[in-house]
Amino acid sequence: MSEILLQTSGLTKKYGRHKAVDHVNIHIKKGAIYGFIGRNGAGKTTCLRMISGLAKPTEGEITLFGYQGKELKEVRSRIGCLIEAPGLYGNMTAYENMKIKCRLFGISKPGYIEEILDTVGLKDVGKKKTKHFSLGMKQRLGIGLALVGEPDLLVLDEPINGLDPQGIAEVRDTIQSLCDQRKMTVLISSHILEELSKIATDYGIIHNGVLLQELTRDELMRRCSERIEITLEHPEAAIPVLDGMGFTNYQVTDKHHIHVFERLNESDVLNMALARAGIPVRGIAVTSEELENYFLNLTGGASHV
Amino acid sequence: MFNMIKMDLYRMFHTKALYVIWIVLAAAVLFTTSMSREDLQYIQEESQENESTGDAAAEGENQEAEMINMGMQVTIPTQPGEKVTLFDQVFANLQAKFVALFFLIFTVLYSSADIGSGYIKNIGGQVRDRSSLIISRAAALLVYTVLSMALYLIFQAVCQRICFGYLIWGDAAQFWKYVGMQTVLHYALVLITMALAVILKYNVISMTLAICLTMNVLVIFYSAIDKVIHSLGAEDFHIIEHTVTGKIALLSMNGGSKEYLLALATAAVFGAAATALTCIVFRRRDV
Repeated sequence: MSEILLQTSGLTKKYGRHKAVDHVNIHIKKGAIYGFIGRNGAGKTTCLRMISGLAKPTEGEITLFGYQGKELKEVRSRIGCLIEAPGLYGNMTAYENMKIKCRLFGISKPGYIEEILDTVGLKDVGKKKTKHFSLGMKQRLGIGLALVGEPDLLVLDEPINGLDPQGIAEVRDTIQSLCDQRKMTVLISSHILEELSKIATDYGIIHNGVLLQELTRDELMRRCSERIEITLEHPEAAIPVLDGMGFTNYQVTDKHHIHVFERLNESDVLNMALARAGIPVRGIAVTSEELENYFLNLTGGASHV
Repeated sequence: MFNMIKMDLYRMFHTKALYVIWIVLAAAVLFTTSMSREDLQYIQEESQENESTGDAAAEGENQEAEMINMGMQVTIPTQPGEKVTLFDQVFANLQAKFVALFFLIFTVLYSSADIGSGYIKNIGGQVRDRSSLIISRAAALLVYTVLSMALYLIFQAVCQRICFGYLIWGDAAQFWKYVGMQTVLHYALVLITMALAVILKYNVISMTLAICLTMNVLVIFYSAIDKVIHSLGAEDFHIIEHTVTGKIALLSMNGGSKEYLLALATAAVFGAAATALTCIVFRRRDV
């Protein structure tokens, strides 16, 4: 089993009577790119702010690198974060913004800032003030700032928000290369599942402050891939039939459904076999689901987005 | 902590407002010094007229008018016939809180810059104790206060030479004692302003309150407190005498040790309380 780098237990944040985050239990493995998905206002940012040490939980515990409670301050510097819009001094250059954070970490290594600016694709911005940067440039500088001090965990809140397709691709490539080259663990939030699915290895889906699901990329792909979907009264009765026919890649998803992920052209044969075994089949069809639809179905439909 | 102070100093010296405020301060010092020269000439002429007519009543009326202490009034203590010393001019500008006004404007801008820009989100979660960011800011503001006071003295000396054609220091020992104590009191006022800027978060409100402090607008509030205390029997009590702005305004040029010790104690109490309160709020508040 992979080492758990970050774990939250019953993490809750209340603003007055409103629970922005309600007993969230997140598990992030070392080296993972954890996609944190939820609609606007679902509680993603509040969760990330608590994890990053910018907000105090009302209840619950955060365990980070094995530390928790008051000991957490020992490892706070191992987190780099970009929460909401990048916080930059508009009248300063990218270099000066970076230099301020380097001073905090006591980093004076020559070429250090240039290296990070190169990593995030801002090597050639020169003396341009950050107030004149495009949104994409600001986002990348925000990621650059998060990288100062070689953090082990990078927390990125909606880093692709408001970017054009090229900007999204650039940020995605930057994150991917950071994971590959620097072996960082990344916690990245977004409300665009399609984009996260291109890089994330694990997912957490949050809705109305409640974590609905945690799943790996393989599990998500399986749930969204083409399959034979059988609807029946007693799924457990169908299992001997499926086993007898040599099906191995199937899953009982709930009280009335079985998803079969192989031999998709044999749905008619399967239907007949179940009928011969005296198992009433309410419906059988070959279906698939878009990632976005999967997310929407899980969180209550597109009408609420 | 040393790294944090280095960070805050770097940020301070890369803030354009620092240099803009210094330039405006230099121009304003030139203006007040030239106005003081005009005032002095007028007073001397008036004094000569009074001497010739023996009209002491007019002088009495003028003095009565000067008792109203709202807004800013830069008045040099030089008597007719005397030469204006640098000490006179420095005293006039410091006790009027004219220099303090510039300090406070910068303090508000600087103290809330990281909160306003959101830069605090980049660092607020990564420090062991967030209140140490306030301590380092207070240390940077100490450097600012001392440096700005030194620059003010240089500006004042230059303006004195330009406007009066001569430069006389006055009593050097008293001068440095007075400037040193005023620097401490100004720093305490800077810390109070930092507290306002950080706790209130809104530049407009904290700037307005800071200006109210320097312009003595709070005198109205103080008099209400005084009335309550007087009704309790302490009729000689005046709260303004126990405030930092009150001490800045009332510190005398040739005060004794007791007066200076009381001023130091006031500065220490208010400065420490403001910094402690800022630390507590900043540590507890979500960024």
